[in-house]
Amino acid sequence: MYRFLLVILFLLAAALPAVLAQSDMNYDGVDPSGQTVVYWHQYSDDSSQAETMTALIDDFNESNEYGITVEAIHQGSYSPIQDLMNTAILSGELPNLVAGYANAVAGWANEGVVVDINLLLNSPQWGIPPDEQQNLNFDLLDVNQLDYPPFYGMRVAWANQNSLNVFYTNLDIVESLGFERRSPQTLAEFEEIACAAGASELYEGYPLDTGTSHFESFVAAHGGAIYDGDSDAYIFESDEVVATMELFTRMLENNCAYLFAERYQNTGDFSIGVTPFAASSSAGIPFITWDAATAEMTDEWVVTAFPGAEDIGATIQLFVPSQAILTATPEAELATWLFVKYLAGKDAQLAWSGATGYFSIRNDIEVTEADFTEPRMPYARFVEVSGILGDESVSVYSSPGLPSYSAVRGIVPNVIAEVVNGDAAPADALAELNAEAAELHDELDS
Amino acid sequence: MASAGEGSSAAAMQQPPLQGPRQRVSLGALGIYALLFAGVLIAVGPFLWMISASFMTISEVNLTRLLPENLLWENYATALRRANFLDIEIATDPQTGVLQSLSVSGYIWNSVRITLITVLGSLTVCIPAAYAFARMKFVGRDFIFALFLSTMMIPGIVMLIPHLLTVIWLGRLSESLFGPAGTWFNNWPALTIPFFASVFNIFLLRQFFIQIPNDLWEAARIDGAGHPRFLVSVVLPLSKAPIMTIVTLGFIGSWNALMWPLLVTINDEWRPIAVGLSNFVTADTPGDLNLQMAASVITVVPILILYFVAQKQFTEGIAQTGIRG
Amino acid sequence: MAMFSALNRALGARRSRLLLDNLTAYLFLAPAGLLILLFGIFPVAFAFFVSLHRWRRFPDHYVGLANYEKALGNLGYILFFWLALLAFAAAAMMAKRLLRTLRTSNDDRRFASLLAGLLCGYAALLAIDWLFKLIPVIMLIPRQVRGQNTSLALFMEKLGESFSSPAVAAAGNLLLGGLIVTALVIALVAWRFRSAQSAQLASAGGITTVLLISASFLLQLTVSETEAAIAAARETGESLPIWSQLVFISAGLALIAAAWLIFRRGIKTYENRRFAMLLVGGLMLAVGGYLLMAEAPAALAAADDDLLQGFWITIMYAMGTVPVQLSIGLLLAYLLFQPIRFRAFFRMVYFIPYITPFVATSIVFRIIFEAGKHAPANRIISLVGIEPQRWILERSTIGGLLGLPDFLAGPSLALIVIMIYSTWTYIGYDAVIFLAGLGNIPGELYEAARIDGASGWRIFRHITLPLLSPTVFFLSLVAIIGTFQAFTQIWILRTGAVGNRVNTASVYIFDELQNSNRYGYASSMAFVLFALILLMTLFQNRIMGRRVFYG
Repeated sequence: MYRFLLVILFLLAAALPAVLAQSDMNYDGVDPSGQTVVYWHQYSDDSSQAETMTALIDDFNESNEYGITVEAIHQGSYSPIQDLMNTAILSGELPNLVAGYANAVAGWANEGVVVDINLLLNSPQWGIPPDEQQNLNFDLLDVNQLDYPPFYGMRVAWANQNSLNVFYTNLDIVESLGFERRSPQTLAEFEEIACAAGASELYEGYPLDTGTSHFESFVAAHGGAIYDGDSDAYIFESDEVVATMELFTRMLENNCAYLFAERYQNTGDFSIGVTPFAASSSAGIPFITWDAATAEMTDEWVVTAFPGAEDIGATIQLFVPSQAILTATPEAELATWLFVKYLAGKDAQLAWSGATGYFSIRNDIEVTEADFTEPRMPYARFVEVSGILGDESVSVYSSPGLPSYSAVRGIVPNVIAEVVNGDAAPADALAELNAEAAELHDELDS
Repeated sequence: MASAGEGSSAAAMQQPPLQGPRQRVSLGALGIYALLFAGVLIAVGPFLWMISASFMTISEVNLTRLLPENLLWENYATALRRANFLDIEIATDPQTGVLQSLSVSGYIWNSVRITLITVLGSLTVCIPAAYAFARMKFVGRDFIFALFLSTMMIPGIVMLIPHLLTVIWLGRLSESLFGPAGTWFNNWPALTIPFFASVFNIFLLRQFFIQIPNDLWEAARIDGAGHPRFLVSVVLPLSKAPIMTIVTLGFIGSWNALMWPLLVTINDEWRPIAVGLSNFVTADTPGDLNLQMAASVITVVPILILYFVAQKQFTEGIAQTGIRG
Repeated sequence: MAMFSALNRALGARRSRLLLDNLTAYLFLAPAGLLILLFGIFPVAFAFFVSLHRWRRFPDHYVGLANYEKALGNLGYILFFWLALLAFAAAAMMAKRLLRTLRTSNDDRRFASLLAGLLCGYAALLAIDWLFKLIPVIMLIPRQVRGQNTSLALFMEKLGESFSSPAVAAAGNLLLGGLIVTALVIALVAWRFRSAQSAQLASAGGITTVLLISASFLLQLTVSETEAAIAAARETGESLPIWSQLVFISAGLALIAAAWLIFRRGIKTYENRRFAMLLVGGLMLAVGGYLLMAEAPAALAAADDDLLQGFWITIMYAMGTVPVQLSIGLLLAYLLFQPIRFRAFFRMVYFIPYITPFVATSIVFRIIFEAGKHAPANRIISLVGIEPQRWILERSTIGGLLGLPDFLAGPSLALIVIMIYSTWTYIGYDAVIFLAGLGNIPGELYEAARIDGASGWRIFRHITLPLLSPTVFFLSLVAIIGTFQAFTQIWILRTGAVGNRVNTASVYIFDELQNSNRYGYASSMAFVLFALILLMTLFQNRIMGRRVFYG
C-alpha cells in the first residue's frame, strides 16, 4: 500500500521541476519581476488607516517598474494575526509581509521564518544607500534589531510608523480639584490628584488598566524595566517593579483608581469628562477627540509623557508596530522588501503620517497643516504629541523583543489582578512571576 | 449509555399529543402566566435591548437607555457596509434590462454556503450510519457504537492541533488530485467536512430508527426490498421531524461557530459571519457599540427566521426520538 | 442479484447472506466511520503522542512523562499506573470472553479465526507504529521547504521523500509484511467462513492483542519513567516517594469505594448486621479519607497550580450551572405543559438565547454587568439595598465578599456572572427537550392517578419525574460534558482585572497553546482533562444510570 503511494508521489514530484534551495542569501542579481506579495495587516476596514494603506498599495502596484502586485488582507487585531501565524508556520503557507508585536516577530524569527532585513537594507543593488539611511530614525527602527543570541544582530522587522503610550490630563478637572492647572509632574502629584478626584462627588479616579504595556509604562516611570539586557533576565523582583505594583494596589485601595472591563473604556471615560487622567496609545487621540466632541465635552485637555518618580523625569513608552518579511523565494522576499522600501519613502511616509496621525520613521519630513488630513484629530494636537517625541529630556522605553515575552505578557495581568485585589503580597507574587518568566525565557528563547 | 428499549410498539410512532393532563387551573392560571412572562422577560430582555440599542446614538448606548429617542436606521446601513456582511453586485444590460451577472459575497453569504454544505453533508453521512446501528446486525456493532459515543467526551482543545494538521495535509492530497479548488485549508472543506459525522446526530437518529416497527421491514423484505430501498422509501418519509431537528441544530451550530473558523480562514473568501462579527467587535480601534448591536441583530435574524419556520417539526422531532440515555 | 447468486453458489446461502449483511452494514457505516476516525479518534492518539514530547509548534524530542509530571506532579505517574492497570483489566476481560467462546464453540476452525484476529491486532499496532514514525517527519516538511517556492508540487515531493526516510521505511516494510500475512490468513479463513462466531472470535482476538500490547507498553513506560525520576531525585540528594504514594493513594481510593459498596448493601440488610456493616464502612471511609488527605497534597506538590485551579474552577462552574439550568428548564417546561394559550410563542421565545451567537449576547451581558453605579445589574440590586458590585471585574470570591471563612470561598463573582450567562443561554434548550419528554408520558397514567385522588405535587413527584428520568439523565450528561469543555463563553466574557480567576482548564490550556506554543505540555494537560471528563461520565452513569426508569 505505502509502496504504491510512494510510486504515485514520486511520479507526481518528478513531473514538476524541482526547486533549488538558496542557502546563502545575497539579493544581487535576483529579479523581483511579476511577484505577488501577500500582506496581512491589522488596519480595520473603513478606518483612515485602511483607506490610506489601500491607496498607497494601489499606487505601488501601478507605479513599480517590476510589475509587483501587493495583496493586502485585513486579519483583525494583532492577536488573531498571531493565532493565524501559528497556523501558517505549521502549514508552511506563509504570507510575505505580516504585522505583529516585536516580541511575536522574535518568536517567528526563532522558528526561522523571518528574513533578516539588514541583508536587504544594506544590499548595494536593492537597499537604501548610506546617505539616504541618515534620514531614517534608527532609534525607532532598532527596536526590531535583536542583538542577543540566537539572533546576533538580525533585523527581524521593519516599521512604517510609530506611536507612543501617552498620558492624558483634563486641565479643567485638575484645576477644579484645587491643583495647579497643568499635567502632573511627578508620580506623587499624579497620585494625589487622582485621589482627590476619586474622593470628589463629580469625578472618578484614574482608570487603571491591568494590561502589560500599561504596567511597563509605569515601571519605566519609576525608572525601571521588566527585563535586563545585560544579565539577560527578567527582573520582576526589582525595586521599580515592586514600587509600581504597590502604587497600583494603593491607588485602588484608596479609591484613587478604578478597574474597567471594555477595551478603550479608559479613554472613553476620559473623553466624557469623568476622570482627570487616562493613559493610552497616541493612536487613540483621534477617537478621544471625536468622542469628546460627540459628548459635547468642552474641557481643555493635554497630551504629555508619563510623570516620573522623583529625579526620574518624564518617560515615554514607544509602540513600534513591526512588519516582518517572511521567508519565501529570494524573488518574493526581494519584492516584499521593495514594497516595504516604498512605504519608507518620503512621499508615502508623508501621506501615511498626515492621514493617520501616526509618527513617521523619517527625520526629514514635516507634516504641515496642509498635509494633515486625519478628519477626527486637529493638527495642533498632532504637533503637541510630536513635541513629546522630539523632547530630549524625555527618556524612552520599549518592551523586550523576546519570543518568551508573548507568553510572559499573557501572565502579567493575572499577577497584577491578584495583587491589586489583595489576594497575594506584591513581593511574593512578583517572585513567583519572575520564576515563571525565567522558566519561559529558558525554554522559549533558545 | 444504556441501550433504549428496542421493542417499542407501533403506538410509539404516533405523535403524542403535546397537551398535558387536563387539570383545573383557573386559580393557578394567573400564577402560571405570571411566571411564564417573567421567563420571557429574562430570556429575551437582553435580546430586545440589543435591538433597541441598535437604533440608538452612541451616547444613548453609553448611558444604557432603555429606548432610543429616534430610530437611527442608518446604523444598519453603516454596520452592513463596515462589517462587510453582504455585498450583492447585480449587473444588468442597460438596454434590455436582462440580468448579466450576479455576484454575491460577504460573511452572510459565506455562512449560508457553509451551513448548507454542512447540513447536507451531515445528513448524507449520519443517516446511513444511524440506520446501520439501529436496524442491522454486524460484527462489532456495539463496540463501534460505544467508540463513536465516547468521542463526544473528547474536549475540543485536545483536537485543535491534530485537526489543523489533518486539514492541511488532506487538503494538499486533494489539491494534488483536484487542482487548486480542491484545497481544504481556507476553503469550504476545512469548515464543513470535520462536522459531517456528528455523533450526536447519529445517536438521535438511531433512537428514532429503532422505534420503527419491525413489521414494516418484514413487509418490505417480502416485497424484495433490501436495506437501501427500505431506508429511502420507508424510513426517510417517516423521519421528517427528527431530520428537521438535526437540520435546525446543525444550522445553529454552524452559523454560530467561532473558534475553528477563526483558525482555518485566512481571508474573506470563506470566512463565516461569527468570525466577521467577532473581528468587527474586537477591532484594534475603538468601536461604536450601537453599530456592534446592529451587526449582532443582522447576524441573528436569519437563524431566527429558520427557527420560526422549523420550530414545530423541531420539537416534534425531539419528542419522537424520545431522547433516552 | 447476479452477484448474490454467484456468492450463494460459492459459499452457501447462510454464509453468503451473513457476509452480505455485514458488508452492507459496513458500507452504510463507512463515511461516518472514516470521518470519525480522522476527526475523532486519530486526533486523540496523535495528541497523546505529542504529549510525550517536548513539542513547540514542531516536534522536538521525546521526554516520556515529563509533561504530565509538570502538570500533575507525582500524581501524573500514579495516573499512568492506573491507566496501565485499567488497560490490563480490559485485556483480561476480553481474553476471558475469548476463552469462553473458544471453549463453547464447536467450530473446527475456531483457532484459525483466532489466529486471524491476533494477526489483525498485531497489524493494527504495526500501522500505528508506522504512522507515528511518519507523522513527525511530515510535520517537519514546512520547515524544510522554507526559502523555496512553496508550491504544492514541492510539498508533495517532500511528502514522497518522507515515506522513504530510513525509520519510516523500516516500519513501513514491517507493516507491509504484516498486512500481507494477515490478508493471506484472513482470506484462508474467510473462505471457510462458517458462522458469526468465527467473526466474533477474530475481532475479539484482535482487540485483545491491541489491549494487551498497549497495556504492556503503558506499564513499561510508567515504570521506567518513575524509576528514572526517582534516580534523578536521588542524585540531587532528595527522595521521591512515588511508590509509597501510589500504594497509599490507591489504597485510600479502594477503601472509599469499598465503603460505598458496603453502605449500599448495609442499608438493605436487617437490624444487627446493618449496624456492623455501617460501622465497618464508616471505619473504611475514615481510613481511606485520611490516606487520601495525607498523601494527595504531597503527590500534587509539584503540580501546575494554574491547572489545578483551572480544574477547580471547572468543577465549580459545572456545579453552579448544571443543576440550576436543569431545574429552571424543567419548571418552565412543566408550566408550558399546562393547558395554556400561546404555547408555541413561549416555546419559541425561550429558545432565542440558545440560537443567538455568543459574540452578540456577550456584548449585552458585559453592559448589564458593568462595574459602574449605573449598570443595569447594579440598579436592580440597589432596589433591595445591596451595594453596587463590580461584577465581571470582581476577582474576589463570593464567600470573601460575604465575609465567610476561606474554605467556603466558592467562585469569584466574575465567574458567577459567567455562570448566569451560561445558564441563561441553555435554559431554553433544556426546557424544549423537557417539554418533548413530558409529551411522551401517556395521559392515562395521569388519569389513573387523579382517580386515586393524588394531588398535583404527588403526581409530579411519583409519575412525571420518574417517567422523565431518561430525559433528565440525557440532559445532565450533555450539560456536564458541555460545561467541562466550556470555552467560548468564558473566553469571551473574561476581563483582565479578574485575571485567571475565571480560567477553566480549557481556557488555561488554550492560552498555553496560543501564547507559549508549548504543544507538548498543552496536549498533556488536555489529556488529563479528557480523563477527568471520562471519569465523571462513568461516575454519573453508575450513580444516575441506576435510577433511570425506562418504562
